[in-house]
Amino acid sequence: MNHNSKENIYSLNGFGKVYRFTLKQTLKNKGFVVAAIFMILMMGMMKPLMYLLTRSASNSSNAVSSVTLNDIEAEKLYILNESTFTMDKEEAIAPDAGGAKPKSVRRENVIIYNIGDIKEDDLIAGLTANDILVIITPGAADYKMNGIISDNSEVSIRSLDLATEYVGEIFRSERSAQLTLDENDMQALAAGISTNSTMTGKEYTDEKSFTMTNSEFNGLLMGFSIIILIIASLSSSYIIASVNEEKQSKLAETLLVSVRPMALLLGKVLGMLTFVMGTIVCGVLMSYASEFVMTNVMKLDLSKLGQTGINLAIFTGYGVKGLIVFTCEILIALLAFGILSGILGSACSKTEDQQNAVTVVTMLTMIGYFGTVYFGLKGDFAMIGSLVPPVSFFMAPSAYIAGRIGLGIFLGSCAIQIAIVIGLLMLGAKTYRNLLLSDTSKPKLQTIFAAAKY
Amino acid sequence: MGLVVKDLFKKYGEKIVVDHVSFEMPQPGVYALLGSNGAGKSTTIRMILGMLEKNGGEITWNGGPLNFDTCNIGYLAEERGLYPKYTLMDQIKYFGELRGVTGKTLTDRIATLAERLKVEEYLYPEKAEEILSKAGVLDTSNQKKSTMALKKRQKPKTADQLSKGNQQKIQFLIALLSDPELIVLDEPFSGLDPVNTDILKEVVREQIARGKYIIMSSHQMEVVEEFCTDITILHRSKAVVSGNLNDIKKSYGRVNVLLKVEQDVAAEIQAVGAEIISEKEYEYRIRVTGDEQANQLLRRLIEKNIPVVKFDLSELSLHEIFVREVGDEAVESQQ
Repeated sequence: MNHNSKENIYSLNGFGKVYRFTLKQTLKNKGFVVAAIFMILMMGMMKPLMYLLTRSASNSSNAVSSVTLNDIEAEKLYILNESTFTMDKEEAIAPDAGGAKPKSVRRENVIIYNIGDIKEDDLIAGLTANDILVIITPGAADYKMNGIISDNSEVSIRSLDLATEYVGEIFRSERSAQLTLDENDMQALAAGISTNSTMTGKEYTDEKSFTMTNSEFNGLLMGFSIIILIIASLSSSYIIASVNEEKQSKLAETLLVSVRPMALLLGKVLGMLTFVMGTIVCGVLMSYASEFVMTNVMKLDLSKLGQTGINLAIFTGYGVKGLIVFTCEILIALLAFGILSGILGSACSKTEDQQNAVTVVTMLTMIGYFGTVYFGLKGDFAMIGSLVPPVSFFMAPSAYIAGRIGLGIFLGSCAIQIAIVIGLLMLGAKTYRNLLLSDTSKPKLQTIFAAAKY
Repeated sequence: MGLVVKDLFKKYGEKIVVDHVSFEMPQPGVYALLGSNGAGKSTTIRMILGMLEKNGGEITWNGGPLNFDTCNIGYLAEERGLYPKYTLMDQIKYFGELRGVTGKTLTDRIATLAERLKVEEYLYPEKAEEILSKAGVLDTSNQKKSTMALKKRQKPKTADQLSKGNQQKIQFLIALLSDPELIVLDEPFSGLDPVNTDILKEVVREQIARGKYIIMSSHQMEVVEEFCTDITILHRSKAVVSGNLNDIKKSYGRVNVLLKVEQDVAAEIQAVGAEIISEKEYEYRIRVTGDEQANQLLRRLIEKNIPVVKFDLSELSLHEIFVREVGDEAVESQQ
């Protein structure tokens, strides 16, 4: 009769104590806390940084509309319009424009010549030291605004630039007015056009029946995949470091007479995952807080930023179903990658081995991510991608929410993923103790499977 | 019924590391597992504690399975370890809680053991001043100047701030936190200075007096002889000697003679067929075949009117039994 039965390795007795201790000590660890604070600040600063970048970009693109005659310091502004659109001073320049500043161009000193009114050379030859000439020349694909001053000019380069911008803007308005287009029409004309020439009749019909278009689906797929990729990569390095610290501190034997391997592994993994998830949640809250301050305290217009920055749009944008699906899926994925990281961490015998362990997890997450990118671009492969791990961790929820797979396939995918988590836990229960006690193990999958034999 | 280890067997691939080892601890006491490095002691201990799966054999505790659900086990591992950067009190409490000791019981046990093992100043840094003053280690005359030093002393201590000996005492404290029935001590005194060795020995004696089952693995034979009633010597994964220490010694007979005289008696010793092991200033260590040869030697010395200062006939020491059974290779590996 064998009294030492094997059933005990799957006991979770003591898991809660390991979890609490791991989390508490991680929160006391200066290195982890500093890294977390840095990450939270980075996430919080993302929106303000994006705003500054966008404003800087829009400053240059919107500068034309904000330039007035008052900004241009010159005596006279000549405009020679060589395009086929006629410019009329009464319509192009508002009656109260110019002359507000002593040195600025007054409205009456703006002289517009249309094509054929005057010779270009004569106009250039007649320029005085305080005059500016802007010639509108039609090109093959656009109109050029050429700013010209006399050889002995006293006009600043800035005023010359502002003058060309000003003329460009009033020419644009005149042009659209003559085409009887309003601002929206102009924007519509300028908007890009996307083509999808590879679509068959069936694909077109299918896409019409989906809840979202292919591009929306791809956007969702990439968004969710990146979330998993970032959190899984981050948490795996933390877990591996934490487990290996325990192994290198020669604590395995002392611990293993008090707690069973599965409880030890799971407590450690969940403790670290809680820390990482807590950091991410704090980062998201920080992002919302910075957005609140920018909108309500600083009264800034953030409409142009759209969904830029850190937010929970993926979780909140698809109703209760989306929230449940994405939350459950992210937990399953993190558990799977977390447990694998824990096992790999226990296989590291030296600090240098940790990088190899991180590489294994990163490689698997990258396979999942790029597999998702690949399958995401192929309409019919959404089902395969949703069922084959590790791609399924990244793909299944988005494919289900986008209507690319049905509930049955999605539940099947979840079942496979949960089976993987349980399988990894059982593998961990069998190997964690042996690997922790081994001084020569390496973070390789074959080492882990070999450890399961003993 | 105590602890029964029967036909314990373990192999890695084709390599047998524990080959059908059996022993029993029917009553409280100290059982020694001896052997050279790689003989299978730690593997045997790990299997007893359920840390390693065995390939064969049976381990029972009071007739049932042995694991930390069925038996309160305290373990001081050969590989000493503490979390280097965590405070001592945090990790001691963690290990205590893992063993199911909580609240006031845990606090009281930590305090009692800290006092017995003389590690209070590290576990209660806020009391360090008082403890060190009492011990006469701290000079309180410059107390005002040493505010900074005081604050530093009062900061919770982490394991990496302790000497190896003190870390070992903390691990010993952890092993005893749950007031275990079965205590497994793997090389408990290795690396300790004489003062700390005595402190630990005193605590081990207390545990023996309280009727605990103790398994001790050690290379220090004098320590084993001091504490152990039963032993098993492992050699190349097999148990070569096993049983009660006195019985084992008796089985080898009384073969050691320590003779002190005031002149050279080498010829007399050789004349009775005894073997001189060593000699220093007419003090001879002699190996005889048994009581008869020893008596023959003593009679011969008396007959020749050679004054005998000391004549001590004794059994083989454990060290000698170990060397005899395990051979020189073990001694070399230990050295």
